[in-house]
Amino acid sequence: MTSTEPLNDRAKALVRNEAFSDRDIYRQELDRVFGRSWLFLGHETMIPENGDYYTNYMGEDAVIVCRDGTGKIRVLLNKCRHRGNKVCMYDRGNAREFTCSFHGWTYGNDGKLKGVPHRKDAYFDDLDVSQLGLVEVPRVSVYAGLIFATWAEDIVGLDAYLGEARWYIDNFLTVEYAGGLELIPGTHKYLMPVNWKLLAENFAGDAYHFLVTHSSVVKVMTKGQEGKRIDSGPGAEITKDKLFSVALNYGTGAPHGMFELHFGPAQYERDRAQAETLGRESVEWLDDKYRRLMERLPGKGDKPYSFHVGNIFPNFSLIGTGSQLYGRGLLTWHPRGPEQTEVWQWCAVDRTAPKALKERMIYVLMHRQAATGLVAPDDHENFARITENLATPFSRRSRLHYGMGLDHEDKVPFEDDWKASECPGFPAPNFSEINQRELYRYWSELMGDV
Amino acid sequence: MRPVDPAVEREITQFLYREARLLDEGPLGKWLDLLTDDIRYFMPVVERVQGSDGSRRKTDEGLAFDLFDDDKPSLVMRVERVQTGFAYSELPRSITQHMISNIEVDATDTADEYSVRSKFLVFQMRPGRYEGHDSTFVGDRIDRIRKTATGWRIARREVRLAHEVLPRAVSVLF
Repeated sequence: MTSTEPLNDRAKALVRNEAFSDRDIYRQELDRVFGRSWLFLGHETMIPENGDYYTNYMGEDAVIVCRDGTGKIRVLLNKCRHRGNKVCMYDRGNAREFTCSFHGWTYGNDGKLKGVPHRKDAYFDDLDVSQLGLVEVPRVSVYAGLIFATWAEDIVGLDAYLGEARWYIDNFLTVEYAGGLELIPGTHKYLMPVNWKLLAENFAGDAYHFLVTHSSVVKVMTKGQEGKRIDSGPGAEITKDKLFSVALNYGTGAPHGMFELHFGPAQYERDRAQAETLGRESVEWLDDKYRRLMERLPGKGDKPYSFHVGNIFPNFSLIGTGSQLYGRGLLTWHPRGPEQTEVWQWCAVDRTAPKALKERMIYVLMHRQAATGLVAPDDHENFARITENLATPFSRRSRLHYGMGLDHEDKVPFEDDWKASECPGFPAPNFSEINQRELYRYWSELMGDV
Repeated sequence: MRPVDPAVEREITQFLYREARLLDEGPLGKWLDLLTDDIRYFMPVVERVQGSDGSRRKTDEGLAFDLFDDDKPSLVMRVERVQTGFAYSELPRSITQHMISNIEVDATDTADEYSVRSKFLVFQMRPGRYEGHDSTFVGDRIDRIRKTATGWRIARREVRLAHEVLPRAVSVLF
């Protein structure tokens, strides 16, 4: 690197291209960011029975998330302690043990080494199996059904890490007081040729791109759609709604962000018109959920109804309840090199919703914002074009610009509405790069000198 | 199983090749015309589940987060999106090559409706110099092909991808 400019120039809100393309920085990130954060791994409903498991990744490390024989959730490194082979090659299943295909070492679903072929002849019975269990991720924690784990023994607990994000997760994502989530089988997985941070920041704070990048979607959605299984949710009309971004844990701790937080009943009314096409049961369910939400939320006047998307630092993004008729997306940006991300996406729906409504929610998410949806390919295209420009000799000298609203962070539109709502977090206009700046603020803190 | 008239087999084979050409060269509106109004266009995810031979969703039972679960209006919306002129994933349009092979035609209980299996390799080229600009999708299709007064039509298509991790976000049709 020849540049003497800081990677993240906070005063100018400029980030150097190397943050998104340099292999050394990326290797450090895997330790300093992914090794020192709570990472999202899935939902409890994926492993309801003892012995149930699924495989996942923490950064680039392959792990098994399982419920052991006693019902405890464990996260085990998917690596035999003998020669390092993987011990599980399935996406999910139920197993009492995992056996390495190389020499047959066998581990219980609690990670303990319980079988070594020819232990007497080959090891003369002189092998301390108690020291050779699968490496276990030391901290696993569940919040509202969402499973997280971290390698870091000394960072704050999950509740404090999520901080102000918990209020939004409670009311707009998991909504346990209305029955909680059900994770739908099926993981969308696809590659995007871009650094994971550009995806995380996009979900944390980029309301600005929607009407441009996804203008084709807005155009087809606002065309006459009578009789179709319409995509409900924000279209061009949302620009008339009261919308906010919110920075969570602003200036302190792990930065989480959300945008397109809807205030007022406009989106509810659109949802209700949609629910009517599905029948009375769906309308009643929606009305009941709305009533509970409004009763529960503090404050007076217009209250928030939903958020569109958000990001929990570092790489867990949420497709919120932009509409209540929208399956909620849980995305993980798995890093696969400085310029490659493996996207995983799940769909979750309200456990208590009528079947017709669940089907609608799944359909809408799939058709709109998923690997094959109307939205993701256009993001993919932009990110591929950005990545091409990162590392070439002259192109890389111009840094990426994060200055939107930089000197105006105290300005909140509809300020009275926000104050009356008593929502936690630091409010910002819907179009703001406050959440991107926050992400790089914390990223720099974790990375230290690079 | 009743034998299939070789002439029918040939007609269906030619129909699939022509359909592939429309997907590659357009116009996509003409491709939509080859689908019945009651089409179900469906692509489950690939999963490897321990203790099951299979790995992917086999029936329509239960809720699943599929990759496609489209009816005709949903497919129309996908095509219309590309036609808006603002769908950046297809600006400029991808160059695609749909290669269709291993066609097997079987009769069904419904006269003039055939169960047709085929394999595909879809090559997609995007402009740009980044090494991610070309992608290949491979898989099987299980179709229901119906003879109508106006010609052969696709009444059902199940696409079974070979991929667990897709090479990119999908803006092409299979």
